[in-house]
Amino acid sequence: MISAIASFMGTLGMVAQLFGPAKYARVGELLGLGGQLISQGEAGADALHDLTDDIQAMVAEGRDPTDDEWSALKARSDAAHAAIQAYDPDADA
Amino acid sequence: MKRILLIAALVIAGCATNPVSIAKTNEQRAYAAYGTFTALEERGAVLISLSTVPVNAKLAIQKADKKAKPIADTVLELARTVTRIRVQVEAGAEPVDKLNIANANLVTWLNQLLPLIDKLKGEMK
Repeated sequence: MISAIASFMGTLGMVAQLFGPAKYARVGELLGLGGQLISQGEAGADALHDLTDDIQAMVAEGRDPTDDEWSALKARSDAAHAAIQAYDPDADA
Repeated sequence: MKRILLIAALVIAGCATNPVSIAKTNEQRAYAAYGTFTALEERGAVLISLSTVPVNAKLAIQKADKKAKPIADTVLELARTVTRIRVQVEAGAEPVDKLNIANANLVTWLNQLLPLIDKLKGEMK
């Protein structure tokens, strides 16, 4: 449901920017941004839900994280960390 | 308008149960904390890629992530060490004191990581 709303907002925003009057271009941009943020918010919520499920499974099974699980998580962190640290404000200007 | 949309997205994302609170062992707590940190880093990477997010907000995310990452990685290594030592203790190859010391180290570093995770989360609001 949330994905559908986010997708609709993105499409509506794009249409407004491309075909609408100039005064609606900014509204279209914000609609697109809203859709993107909601999608990313949902993706973030999915990541936390998956993590919660993983922890619940570990507790139920009476076990601790495996080396493979740690390695997979670290790989994701390293990739996101590299992306964040690569940000250059001068290039953003 | 942008702030309202951003807050809405973060509220949606923030409705999940806190994984750290449901973990039972120190290694599970460490994994839950590291996983939460990773999810926030992934969200931060997305926010930094958006042209409509202000530069100072992006720099704040970058700074909080830079501070937290080495602590998080230390927690990861200490958690793996605890697991390794636990196996050795159960096999009778190491004294239980060694496991207790490793656990205490892990808890100390985990307690340093948790507020840094909150700081990173706060920079995305």
